Amino acid sequence: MSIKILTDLCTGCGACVDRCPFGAVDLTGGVAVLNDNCTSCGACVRACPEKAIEQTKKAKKKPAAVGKGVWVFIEQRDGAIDPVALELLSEGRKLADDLGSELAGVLLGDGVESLCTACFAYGADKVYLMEGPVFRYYRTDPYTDAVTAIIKEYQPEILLFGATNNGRDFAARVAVRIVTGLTADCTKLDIDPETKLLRQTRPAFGGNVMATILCPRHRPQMATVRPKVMKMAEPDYTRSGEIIRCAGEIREEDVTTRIMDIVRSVGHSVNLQDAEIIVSGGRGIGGPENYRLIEDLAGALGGVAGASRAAVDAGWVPQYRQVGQTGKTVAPKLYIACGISGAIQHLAGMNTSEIIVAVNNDPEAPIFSIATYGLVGDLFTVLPLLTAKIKAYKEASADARKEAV
Amino acid sequence: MQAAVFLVLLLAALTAFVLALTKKISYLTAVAPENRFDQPLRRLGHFVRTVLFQSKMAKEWYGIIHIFIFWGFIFIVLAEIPFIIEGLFPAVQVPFLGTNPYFYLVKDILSLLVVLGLLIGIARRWIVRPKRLYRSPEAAIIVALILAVIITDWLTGGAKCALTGSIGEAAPAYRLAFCYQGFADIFYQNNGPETLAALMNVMWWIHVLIILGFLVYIPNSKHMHLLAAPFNGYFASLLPLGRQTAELDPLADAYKDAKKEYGVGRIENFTWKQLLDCFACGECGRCMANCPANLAGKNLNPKHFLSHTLKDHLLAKGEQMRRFGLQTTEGLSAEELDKLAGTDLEAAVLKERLVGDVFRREDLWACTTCASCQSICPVSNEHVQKIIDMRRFEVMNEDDYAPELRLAFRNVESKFNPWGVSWSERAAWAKDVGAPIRKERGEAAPEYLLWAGCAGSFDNRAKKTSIAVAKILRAAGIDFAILGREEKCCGDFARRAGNEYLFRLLAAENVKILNGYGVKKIITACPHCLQTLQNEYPAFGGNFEVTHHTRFILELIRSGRLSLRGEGGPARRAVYHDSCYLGRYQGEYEAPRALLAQIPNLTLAEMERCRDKSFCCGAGGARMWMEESVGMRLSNLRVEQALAQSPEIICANCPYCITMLEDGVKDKDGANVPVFDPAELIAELL
Amino acid sequence: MRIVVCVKQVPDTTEVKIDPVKNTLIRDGVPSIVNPFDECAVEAALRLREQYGGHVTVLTMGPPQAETALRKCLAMGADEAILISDRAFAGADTLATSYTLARAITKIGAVDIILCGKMAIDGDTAQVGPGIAEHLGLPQTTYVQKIREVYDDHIVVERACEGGYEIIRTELPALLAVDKAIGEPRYPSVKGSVRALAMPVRTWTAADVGAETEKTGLNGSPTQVMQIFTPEVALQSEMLTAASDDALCDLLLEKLIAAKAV
Repeated sequence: MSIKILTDLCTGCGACVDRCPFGAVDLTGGVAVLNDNCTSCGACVRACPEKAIEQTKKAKKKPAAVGKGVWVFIEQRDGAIDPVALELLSEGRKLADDLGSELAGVLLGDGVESLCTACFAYGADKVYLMEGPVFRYYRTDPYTDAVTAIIKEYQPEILLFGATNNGRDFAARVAVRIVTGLTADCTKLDIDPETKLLRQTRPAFGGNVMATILCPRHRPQMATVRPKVMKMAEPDYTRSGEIIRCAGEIREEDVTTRIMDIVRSVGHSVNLQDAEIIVSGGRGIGGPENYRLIEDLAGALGGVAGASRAAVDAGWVPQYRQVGQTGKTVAPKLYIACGISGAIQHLAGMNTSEIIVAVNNDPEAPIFSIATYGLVGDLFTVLPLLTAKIKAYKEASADARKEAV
Repeated sequence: MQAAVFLVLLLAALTAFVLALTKKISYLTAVAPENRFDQPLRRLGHFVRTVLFQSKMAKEWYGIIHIFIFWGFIFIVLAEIPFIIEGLFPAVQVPFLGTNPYFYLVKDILSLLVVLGLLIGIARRWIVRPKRLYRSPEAAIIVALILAVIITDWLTGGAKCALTGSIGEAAPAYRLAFCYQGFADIFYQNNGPETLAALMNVMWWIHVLIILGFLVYIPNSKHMHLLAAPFNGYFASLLPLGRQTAELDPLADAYKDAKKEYGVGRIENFTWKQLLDCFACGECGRCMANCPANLAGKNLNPKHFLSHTLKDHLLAKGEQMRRFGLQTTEGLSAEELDKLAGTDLEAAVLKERLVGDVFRREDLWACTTCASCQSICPVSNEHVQKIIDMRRFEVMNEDDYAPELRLAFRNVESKFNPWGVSWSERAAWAKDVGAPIRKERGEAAPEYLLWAGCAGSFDNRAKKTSIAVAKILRAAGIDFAILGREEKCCGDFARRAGNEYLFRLLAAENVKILNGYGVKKIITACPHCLQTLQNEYPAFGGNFEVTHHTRFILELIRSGRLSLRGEGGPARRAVYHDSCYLGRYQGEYEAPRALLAQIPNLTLAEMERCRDKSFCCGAGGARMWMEESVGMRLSNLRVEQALAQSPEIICANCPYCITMLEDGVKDKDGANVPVFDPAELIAELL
Repeated sequence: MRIVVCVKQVPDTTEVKIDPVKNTLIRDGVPSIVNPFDECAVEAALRLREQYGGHVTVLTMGPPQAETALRKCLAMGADEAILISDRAFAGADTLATSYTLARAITKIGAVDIILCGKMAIDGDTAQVGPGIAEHLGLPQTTYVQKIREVYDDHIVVERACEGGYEIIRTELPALLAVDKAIGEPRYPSVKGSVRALAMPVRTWTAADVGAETEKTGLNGSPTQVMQIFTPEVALQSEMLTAASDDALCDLLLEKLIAAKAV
């Protein structure tokens, strides 16, 4: 594909310049001119009111590869399926139905056959299973070799991975070895009703825009999806399916990577910078004894407790917990600021957090101007309530999941 | 015979004097050069003002004593000429000095005032000593010497009057010299001519010996001050405060000589003028008595820094460099210097660097560059540039400085503001108040540019001031615009922190944008921006007329372009805090006060430390971006000083000061005094 | 030890904003930066060099302006910088990019460790690192949070995994994609910045690295961007109000669950 600007029709209105996400159109001498940044995405074609931009499709050099079936890689650790695999089976089911094809899981491990039941319950018609001690722990090479071998033999049309560290680690390698496209972190997957291609939609430019991506000529069409993006369907344990055993030829001696140890973190870490959830307390907590409220809420959320400079300066909280200009700079998914007025000192260290919740008894506190959700209230009553409610919610959903599996 | 003995003694004393002096001068000529020989007329003017008229001294009552001592000393030295010549050759009469009775009258008055002054000085130093004065042996010696010089002079002169009186000849020159006459009366009554002649001779010799001793003593003691201070007055910087006397262009230097050290890491890289300061220092301690860091219990002591730390190191290292014939120790490795020094302990000083070895790193960073030391110094010493020069070495050469400062630099590089707030949000404050953005104005150039500054653009507190200023400008119908995202940090804190590289990048980019729009007149609410744009950007091709918003708004009111509601507002007692960069750096003390006077029902109280003696909030000199761990917080101290006036509101003119003072109020239990910029109060009256 | 660090110049995505009126990206004047994860990779390389000695080459594929990013890495302390730039590379997806970089690394020759950041902030794919390793047939370890020990023929690293980390031993040469936990990238000293301005940056074209045009740029990219659009809703500030604290907490929890934050 390539983009062509019909200079005699171009009025130099600049609509394409504004619309181009890559900054690839310049206005030179009153007409639009493409520069090196162009990725032929076609955004400008749709933006042009004069229809002065054309997107030309290149003549097909080779026929598109073929494949059939929608596959989902079933990631397991220590004999338990990662929930993202079940979410993807649920989503894959819809895609398979739209295509009128089958849904299959690809499962690697050592003595993991029993997990197939759950795969069927979440919608799989088949499970390609390869077992052996070499697959006991995830490692890039044996997993890449195995999945590539299965793909080559059975040729799926679509293959989905959970965007976990492991999923992202080897999906990229598989795609290169097979020579096909891979779209990362998709937030929406659907089938184009005309071309039957998989439309893979994902955020780009730090989440500022969304891009829909196609892989028209290579198979399988591969995508990764982040955990919790797709909805997990209700399992149906009456469903069953076919287990296809695949023989592996991978020997332990050939693997150049060894896992020497796996260390599970225990207790609450204070690694503020990597935390996905942070609860911070400020001057409003009033004294060191009340910092417990912050820690409790952080604990209930599975997050880390932080503090503002005022709380640290007062000697209530140790310095390593300080968030802000002179403390740690953080960007968690959820930041809860309790009793923090929101001096720029503090805001500079956390204003890129995805969701900011502010609890403060002063409705004029500047923190509210950047908060996603603001609560005007007394933190001494609000925090314990919130902690209790979150605990209750988490227990309820854990129970629900236990029942499901 | 007497003449021969005197001549030998004089020659010996002169030789000792000259040797000691040339040695010190040789240390100074060996260090970095600097051109302070330009503009002789302006220099002379400064000399007359600060040296002859002792302008800085005249500001305090006890400074008057020094003026008496200074002029008394000059007359006493002049009187030595006839005194010595007539002592040796009684027949010779020195014209004018030996014959003019008025000269002797003035000399006697001054001598008496000197003695009086010295007595008060003794009382001040040894009985009711202010902290800034040290009870050193050197101080005692000089007092004793001066007293001895004057008294032996009076005794000699008295005997001479008595003698001439007794043999019936008038001594017309001494006619009005009432001290001589007074002593003559005492001698005349009991002694005959022979005794008087002998007495006179003995007193003459004692006096001469003291004078010669004095001569030898001066260049070997802190009293080099007597010789160095007048020169220091002449060679003082003529640049506006804050303009760098030690220009440094890291890029140009790197292309010239890649190994050249940035900033000053060793004493010989200071210029001769910077080190002349050490000799000019009279150890009066006004600098330390006004240094906010020192007063807040930090170790930094500007007086000790010059008069001991630097001077002692210069004497020790200068001597060793002279001994080994070294022009500099820069470029010599530690091993080479070790080899040179061998086992000689004294030569080990060659290896010493300034920061870390002779000057504590912590003290270097305690300075807020508030310039109170410099602006009060009677001998025109330049403290702040030395601090900045050493910071340059630490930051640019050694890359060794506080991590929080590093973050601020990094933020300025990537987001163009030290907080690291999103660059694209720079104009967000202006949206609601409708301040137009320069770029969107296109060709239609506005008359004024409102420079919001980083704080005014990003800090929620300072944004209120920006909004107030914009509202006022709109109400007065001023045609103005802001730069918005095209504005970048002015670089003030980077420069004071010694990151001249970053400052120059920022200055060049800002000047390019401003000149690109043909900006001529700028209004700003930040004294730090004001200082850099007004006083420091001219060196980078940016010549603007920059006005602080308080002055601008005041003129709007005075010219009738802005009218305020004449009444309203509760009766309030306000105290006003002078920021360092608007006050001492820009000399603007009146406009903010006059503006506050426009507000009905507001009474203005003054803090004890105000105007040119104002006490820094603690945020200048890049301290805003650093933790303050030693001693008391400056902001807390300043708030206490403010609260001592029991105000209902505190007013300040600088976003840094307002932040610091608000923090100080919050830290003070039970205090609930709000801090305002004058513009905020004016905006309420629109 | 010979280390190659692959870096990418990216627009500072935190500064890319949506024009609320036109609903388009405001790109005008957005500063270009070195991808922050890649800066961490440079930091890791410099620390390795400090500990074990060696030579650090930074490599980037991009337009001529990407030289600025390389200068920044030189200022941090890298020994050498190479820019691969060619019109033929335009429009490359991760497959074509990793192929091109792999060709350049092959041309550089005997490399012990290839470092890259775990992902780029403008694309967030985390695919180029593993792609390079696959093209070169080398082992890889991604999400490296610590390099423990380096030996002649192998390396021991910590790799972040769900709920903890793994200690992994990999034969050398290998590719490591590092996480931010590897260490805060150093702020270039002024001396370093000035030095970097005087250092040469080598530029290689597709022909120089022996890249086949069929495999580079748009031609070599299986994926195509079909459409770009701005998401409808951005999160706005919202003050929650309710009759009681209890109801207020319920409301907040509801919001957080809806936003998948809990």
